[in-house]
Amino acid sequence: MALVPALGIILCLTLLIAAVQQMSVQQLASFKARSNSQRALELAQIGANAYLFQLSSSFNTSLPWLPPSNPVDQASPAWPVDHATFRQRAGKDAQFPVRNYPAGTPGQGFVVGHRTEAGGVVVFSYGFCNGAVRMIRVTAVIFSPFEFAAAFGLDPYSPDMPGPGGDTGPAWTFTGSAKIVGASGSEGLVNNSPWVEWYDGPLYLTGRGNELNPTLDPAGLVSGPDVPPGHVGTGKLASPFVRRMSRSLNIPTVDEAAKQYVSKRWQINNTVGVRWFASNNNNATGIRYLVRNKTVGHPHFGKVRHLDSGPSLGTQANPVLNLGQVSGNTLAQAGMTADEEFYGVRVYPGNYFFTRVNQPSSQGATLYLRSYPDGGAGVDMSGDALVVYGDANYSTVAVNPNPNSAFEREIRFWVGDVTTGNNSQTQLSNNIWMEYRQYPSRFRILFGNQAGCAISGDSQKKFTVNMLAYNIYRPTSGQNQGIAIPTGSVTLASNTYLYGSLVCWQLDVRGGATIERQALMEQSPYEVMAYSVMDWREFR
Amino acid sequence: MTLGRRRRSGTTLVEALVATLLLSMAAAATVVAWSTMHLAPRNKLMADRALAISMSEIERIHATGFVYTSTGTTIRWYDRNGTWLGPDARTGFFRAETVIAVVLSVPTGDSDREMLEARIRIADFSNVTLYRESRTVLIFGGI
Repeated sequence: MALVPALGIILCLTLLIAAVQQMSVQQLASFKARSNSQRALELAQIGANAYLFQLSSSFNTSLPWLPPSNPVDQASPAWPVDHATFRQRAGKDAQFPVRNYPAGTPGQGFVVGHRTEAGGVVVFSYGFCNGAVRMIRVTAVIFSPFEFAAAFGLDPYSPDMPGPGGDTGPAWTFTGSAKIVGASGSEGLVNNSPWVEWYDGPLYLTGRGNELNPTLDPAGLVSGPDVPPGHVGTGKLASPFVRRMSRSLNIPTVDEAAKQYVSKRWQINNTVGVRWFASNNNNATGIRYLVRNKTVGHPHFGKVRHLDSGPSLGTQANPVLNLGQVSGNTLAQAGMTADEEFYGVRVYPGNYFFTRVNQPSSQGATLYLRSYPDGGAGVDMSGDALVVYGDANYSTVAVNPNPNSAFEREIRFWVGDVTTGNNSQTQLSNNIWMEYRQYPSRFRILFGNQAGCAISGDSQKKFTVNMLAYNIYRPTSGQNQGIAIPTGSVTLASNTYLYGSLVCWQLDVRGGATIERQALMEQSPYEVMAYSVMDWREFR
Repeated sequence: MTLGRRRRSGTTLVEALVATLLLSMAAAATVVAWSTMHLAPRNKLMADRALAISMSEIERIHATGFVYTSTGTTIRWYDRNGTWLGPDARTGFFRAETVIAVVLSVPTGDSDREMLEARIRIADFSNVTLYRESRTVLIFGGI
């Protein structure tokens, strides 16, 4: 008799226990699904970041879990695909290369591809974990060394921590009342003068710059029309003005920039750096004398044309661009007629290699930069349209004489070391005129020479340029033989006004000089320091 | 001889012993089930909170960004509800340990272009019970 009620109780308890177990299993399954889904999202983010790193490194890095290059512009089916299609194709289709992360962990990882867009990329990253899949789309733009600062000094060494070759910095030296307009920064000591004026900002102190300038906290000013003298427009004051970052920005050297440029531009493996351009340049075709018809009453009075040649550059191995005064004889031999007078030297969009540029300040030849493609237009120093003809009859507007360069708009000077002997300092002045003036980034000087560069000028005519002066050299003899020594010094003379961007190892700014960050910069797909994410979102 | 035995109501000893045994087993199973009923939601709650803390840590790392991130180990403490206890806390219910290290370094000149990896470990206060382990990667300009 006792068994019956006992069995009844047991039955009830059994049902209770089964229900509890079912509840536990369901809760566990629900949590597992959520956990796997979250991990899939984390893996999608990891995949996207790893892919952007690979893109900026031209996929020259090697870790087993890093994603390979996977352009999907022409993929079929078109990306992004839905999750069902992804599950079918991941690891089976060459367009869906799987990488497990952490390396060797089965069942979780990512698949990444990218589409190229103007000025950047769109990256699609699928993360998966134990069956869960999540996908994000990331929009990133090219970030170049010239992107963010009017001036940036790189030398992190100091007297208490000297660098190779006895380098003790500083990254920046100011004397007198220099003016900095826009973002600027330093990875080393800023030898600040109390009369320096900082406009708009911010001032970035990165890496050792953060440690070496613990009390640097200048009061920011707002720029305005002719404040500082020569400035156009009104700026905005950054807040906070000083931004301290613990990490270095890892600006690439000129040799690295040259390798990357050649690789991205022509898919050629450049192993020598800036000297690759010594035998691959437009020196012979793209630099031309300009002459103007001076004869009053002549049907072509006032017109300007280019001659068939330009200044002699010396040897091909060690070319020097001399922009001093040019003799009448030289011009006559180049084709100038008696009705014409010397107007200047014109450089067309292309790549040029020199071991030195010698431009006396305000004397000698004006260097005209035709910073627009064929069919475009520029202005002269008076602001009037500058039309340059390509023939002696002044009948045809000059086109870019560099081969396959009709659509080019950027002029790059690559300055490297001499092959024998000692380098001489490059001297530039603001007697350089950019015919299309909106983008200083269309004139780039990549200065990989040990001798440094001095820039002079005045506030009436801005020197528009994007300049990177930073390289590594290894002495072949002496006590520093074989040691990697960074170099790249630029001196801005008093009252010079540089507009654009100047990134260099050591910067010396003399009293009254002004450096203003360019307002607008055109992206070049060939100089990619990194990709900067502008937006990311999940796709379902 | 008496015809038929008179039947008496009640339980035999064997029946009583078997019933007792079965009821004991059922009671023991019920105790276990009861314990599971208590522990399962609690464990799930802890796991859920650890997941939330892990997500929060990853978002914090991404929001800080590559240029402001130093390598090294940091430990942050959270209470049982998953609320951060502040920078001065030295103990709590959940322990979130973040280790940031350079995972890849590409020479670019005087310095190297780096990729950082952050490993986040959510455990109990004694660092014995591991609730969750997560990772993320940081690069210049990245997410």
